[in-house]
Amino acid sequence: MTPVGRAPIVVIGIGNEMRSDDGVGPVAVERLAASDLGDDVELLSLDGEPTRLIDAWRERRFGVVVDAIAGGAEPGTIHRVEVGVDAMPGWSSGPSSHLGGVAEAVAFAEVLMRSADRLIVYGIEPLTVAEGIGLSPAVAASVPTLVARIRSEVAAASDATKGCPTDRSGQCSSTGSMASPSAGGVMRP
Amino acid sequence: MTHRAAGGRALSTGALARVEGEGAMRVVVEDGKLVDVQLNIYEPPRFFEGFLQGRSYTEPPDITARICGICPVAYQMSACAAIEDALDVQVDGPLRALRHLLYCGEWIESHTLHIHLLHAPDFLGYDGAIEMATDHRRPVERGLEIKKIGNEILELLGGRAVHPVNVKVGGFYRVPTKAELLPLRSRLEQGLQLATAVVSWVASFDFPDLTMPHELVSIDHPVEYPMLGEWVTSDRGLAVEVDRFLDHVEEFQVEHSTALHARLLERGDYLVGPLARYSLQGSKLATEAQAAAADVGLEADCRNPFRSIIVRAVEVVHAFATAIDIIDRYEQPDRPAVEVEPRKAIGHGVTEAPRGLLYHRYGIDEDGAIAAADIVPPTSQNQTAIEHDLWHFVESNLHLDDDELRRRAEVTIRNHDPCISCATHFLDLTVVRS
Repeated sequence: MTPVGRAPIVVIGIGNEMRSDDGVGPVAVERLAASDLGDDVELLSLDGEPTRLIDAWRERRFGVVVDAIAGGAEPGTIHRVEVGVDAMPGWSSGPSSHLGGVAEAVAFAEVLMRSADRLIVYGIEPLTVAEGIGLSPAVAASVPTLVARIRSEVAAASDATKGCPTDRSGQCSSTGSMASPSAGGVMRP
Repeated sequence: MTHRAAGGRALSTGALARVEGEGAMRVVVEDGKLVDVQLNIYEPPRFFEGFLQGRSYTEPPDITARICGICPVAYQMSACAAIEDALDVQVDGPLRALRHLLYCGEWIESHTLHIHLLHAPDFLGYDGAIEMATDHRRPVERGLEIKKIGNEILELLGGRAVHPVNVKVGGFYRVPTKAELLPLRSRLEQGLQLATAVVSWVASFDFPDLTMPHELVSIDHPVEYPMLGEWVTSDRGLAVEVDRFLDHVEEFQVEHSTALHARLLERGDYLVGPLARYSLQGSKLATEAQAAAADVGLEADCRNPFRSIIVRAVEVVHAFATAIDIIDRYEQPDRPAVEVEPRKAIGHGVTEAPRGLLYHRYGIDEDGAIAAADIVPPTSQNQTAIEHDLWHFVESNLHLDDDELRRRAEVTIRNHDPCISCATHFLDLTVVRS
């Protein structure tokens, strides 16, 4: 259920633009902001602190999280995980935080029943998260593909949200029509 | 993971959880006797003081805020205080009150995160917050709601919750109207009620009986429980204005850490943070916070690091009560910041980050460029005291097996909510017994 006044769809870029490829999440959000995604989509850049993340995606119909994630693949590789459908890999999120990364936030949200109705995590393999501004060529090259994938998923979710039946409070009463437009897994840009 | 070595044993763990940053702890035991304890910080040095050289006097609040995602306001406040001291600028009245209000938001957020998600699992016997939340969902939900209200203060006054962008030397870029603050006030009333209940919750935990002898150091303000101030005091006679602070503190390097340690000259280790503030300045707490402390029997002089969780909870009550009072008294200033002109000067600033006293010093050139910067964060100051606590704990508990010794040593460190990222960034633990 999405409270009145809150966009039903959120895209959250996690990372620090001053830590090289760790900034890929905010960079992706910035690119998405350049196109009109509609009033039902909110774009956020966050530092990845899990409680803020959980608060950002709770009570949303659809959420996309973009983060630099070290999974051992080639730099620039795009991973896609649908929470509750795909197994959450044991990724390591970039520079530290008190509570860990997006995987911990997902697990925490599930315990607290504060996940989005549907949540997709895009993880991009960094080359480096050293202090410095700007993405590495490998990660920068994957951004257009990443943004196109997210835009496609958001458009499908937006259509589904607008087409879904509503309850008496004007909110969508079913998530059944929000089918995933793409399968989970690993892609090269 | 335990390794057996010839003639003794060495135990090492993966990263110590629930602290900010990357580091390790090493404990050496020979013939049943403790011979060394080291808090190793191997986070690469971050060179912020170097980055600042040559930048404009207007930039340290935004640059130093990037040192920490948990306490950016502290960095902004100490940076502003030091630069304004150098440029002989007075920021008072409603502008100072708004800074105080912003700081309340950060205390609420930072303390509530530590209380509920980092520290409470130690007392309730869980490996972490996620495991604890399964059995203690309501208190965790309450904590998240309190933290969210703190977040709302930062968003309203700071422009965003992480690394606020509305603070500038001389005041703010934009100040809120009274009408903009009023909806926040009702949220703060709600937060005050929730925070008061947290004091009772954490006071119900079991605490080891322990008194540590560190000298306690905090800001001393004539009437306010300190967040902002100009004087530094201790329980053993230190009383100096901020510009003399470094005359009494020696920063020194140790081989096992990339963060500088600190000690008081001719006195030794000292402790900053909630225990110091509360024990030295507790009479200045808001009435609601004093009542909450009294209701749970919190001693006026609290030197038990484990009970710092209660003190943090009391400080959250104080932050809510203070924030409400600030809003009630607020009248929108006629300008968002006072004029600032650069000049060649040196300035000193000190404020109370959630983890303790945070000192900044800047040398500024005629054209306003930063010639020199010096930042002394609370975790650096507390490192020696934390090692002292560890030594005391390990020496008294050598009978414990390695797993239990490790677990309780981690708690000993978390008592002080260290922010290793601030000090330079996770702790591995190695115990060597021979």
